[in-house]
Amino acid sequence: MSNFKRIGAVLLFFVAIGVIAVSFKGSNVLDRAIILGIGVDAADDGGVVMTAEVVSPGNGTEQVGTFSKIVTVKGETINVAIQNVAEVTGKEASLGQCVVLVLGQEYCEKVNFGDLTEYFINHHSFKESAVVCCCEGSARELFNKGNALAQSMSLAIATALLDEAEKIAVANNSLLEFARSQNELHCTGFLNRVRFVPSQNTDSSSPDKEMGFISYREICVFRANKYVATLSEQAVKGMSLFSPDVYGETFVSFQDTVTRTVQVTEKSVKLEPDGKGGFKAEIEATVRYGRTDSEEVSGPITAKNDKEIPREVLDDVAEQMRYVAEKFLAEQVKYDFDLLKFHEAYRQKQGTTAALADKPMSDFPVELSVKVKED
Amino acid sequence: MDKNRVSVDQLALLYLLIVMGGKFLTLPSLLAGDVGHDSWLAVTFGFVWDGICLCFLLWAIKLNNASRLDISSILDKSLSKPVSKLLLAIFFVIFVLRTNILLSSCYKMFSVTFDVSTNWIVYVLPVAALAFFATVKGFNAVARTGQLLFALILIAVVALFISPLREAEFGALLPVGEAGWGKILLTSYTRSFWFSDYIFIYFVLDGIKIKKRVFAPMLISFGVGALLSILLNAVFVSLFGYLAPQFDMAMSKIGVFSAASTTNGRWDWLTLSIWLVSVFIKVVIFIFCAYKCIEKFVGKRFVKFNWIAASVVLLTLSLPMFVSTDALLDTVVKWGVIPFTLVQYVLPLLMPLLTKVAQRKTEVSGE
Repeated sequence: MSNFKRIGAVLLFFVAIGVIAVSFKGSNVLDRAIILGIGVDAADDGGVVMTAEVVSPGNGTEQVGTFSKIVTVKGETINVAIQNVAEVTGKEASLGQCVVLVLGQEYCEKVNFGDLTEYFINHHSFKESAVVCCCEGSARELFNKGNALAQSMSLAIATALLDEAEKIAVANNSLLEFARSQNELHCTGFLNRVRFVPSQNTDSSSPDKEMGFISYREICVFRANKYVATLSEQAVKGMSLFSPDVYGETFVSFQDTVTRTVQVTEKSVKLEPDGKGGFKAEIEATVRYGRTDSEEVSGPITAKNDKEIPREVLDDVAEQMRYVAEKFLAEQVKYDFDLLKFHEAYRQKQGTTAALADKPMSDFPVELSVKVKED
Repeated sequence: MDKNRVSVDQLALLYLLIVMGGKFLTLPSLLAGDVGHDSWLAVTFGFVWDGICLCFLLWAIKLNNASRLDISSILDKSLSKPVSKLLLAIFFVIFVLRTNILLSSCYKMFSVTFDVSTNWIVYVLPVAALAFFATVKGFNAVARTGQLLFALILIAVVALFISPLREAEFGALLPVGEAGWGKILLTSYTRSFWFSDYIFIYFVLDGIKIKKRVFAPMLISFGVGALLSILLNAVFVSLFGYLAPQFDMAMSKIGVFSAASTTNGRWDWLTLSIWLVSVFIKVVIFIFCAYKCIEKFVGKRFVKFNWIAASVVLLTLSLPMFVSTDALLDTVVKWGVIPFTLVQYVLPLLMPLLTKVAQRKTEVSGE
């Protein structure tokens, strides 16, 4: 090969590399508005109002922590609203890091939001494992309470509902689970309802600053993406008893002028068809005295130096558990929703039929047994 | 030294890589659309046929060890030249179609999951350049690359699986065979285009070095690949239920669950990128085989790199610019299943016999 040919080949190689490199259009992280959480409310004109918690890389200096801002945009659909984020931030919205989707009260109670869940579930960046919940009042108001929490609202909600089931002791749902629940078999599912609870400001340096915390103790039920009911507090407690992954529920027992608080530390839940068209439910909970401000110490070689919980207290707690569990089962029948997947259990035995999907909850009697033992 | 020489162990690792490299893209959603939660059964049946055919092919490899005949010699001598050319033409179509469909899926994944977009030509050119470079360097270079990257890719696949495995409720797969056994069997046949990854072995038949074992390493690779693929399908349909047919990028969706338990980022993008290397290894091997098909079809050994053959292969890679992948699947792939069966399932079963016949004729003719 002559020198000219060699030089030509090298030049051609670099030109080709250049053309290929220029043709790949990635998007620079500095040009993106990274959305951590989305709130959706109903707009007066029938569209949606979207509130997003956004972090924009490159906008801060050497700050430590998550510094986000809240932007609110309108759109005829959620897709248009997301596009409109660019108008407010000057950057393209990116949903890959979004961890929570919050539906405002009016929006989720009055609108069939099937299109919205369908949009997010089919979105290629949005994680189906993200938390979806509804809130008291508007999602816009909730997201603007981030300063009162002194942390990112999106991360606070997602962390509590995703990773800290034992602290909030309430069952929770991901977008994927919720979307499936609204379209499969009996078409009923639930969303946690979060609520901002104001608290007294004790900070004398900024007396006007709003303070508060988020309450997670409510659950709303939906059928085919339409609101059905909000569960009573006792029913929520009963529902969490049926969820094996959720623990930390507390019960108070009054015996002989002594008040004792016990906490569920472990749980085994058996829920299976009884062969007669109903279900047999067995809950076996392990409890210990409730503690505060102490590191939990447990395991097979832990010293047994706690006082034993009297048998009467354990029986009383078992009775309370039975009461809340029955309360929940009664609300399942009353509003005809299936959060314990009774229909699914029968589908696994019989296959999918329209008759099974339409079967009311009253057709599934439950024989309940609750046992409580000490940790 | 023959640059296309490859040991059985290298072949086994490559085989495992390419089984993992193609089954986790569009196939799970297509199967879910056909037979719902029974898709894992369709995959299992697909692998049962593959396992049987692979055993016969390995037997043929063992028989061929002494004579080292290549695929065209075996077919020419045992079935006549016209039949041989027909089979090579079918092979060529399969390799080109599978390459196009794999590349289209990766193109979509880059665009929607990684948010990197480009045009088809600029996307295909570097991949084709890599494949032709591998062709020049010989199959041994591909095998060595596979060896180097194998552990990394396997770790990435396992990492992608761990979280979804924990989340999946396998009860959703019940009742077993709800779609109907006939339908499941038929689906495993109509979707057989995605199976029989061993077909690349035909084109390195004359370069396989056999030291001790042939069956054990290959069947272990096959078993692991089959198990992972069946497991992925089971996890996919049990996680996504009625939504499974809508998600045409199974690995991308499954990967999301790697990030599910944390709010700290998307490390699934890292593992997904590493796994994608196995898809590109598969593409490189298929392009290599398509090139070899032309070489054997014209019946002339390309001593130097043949630009005309490479151009023909490159031209076929522009297919997705004119026809969508869905249209390809609904037409060519749908109706091509029957002729493809010849090389995917009938030929391997006959290979030991054909090899024997070809060897006898070679001995008689004194070549």
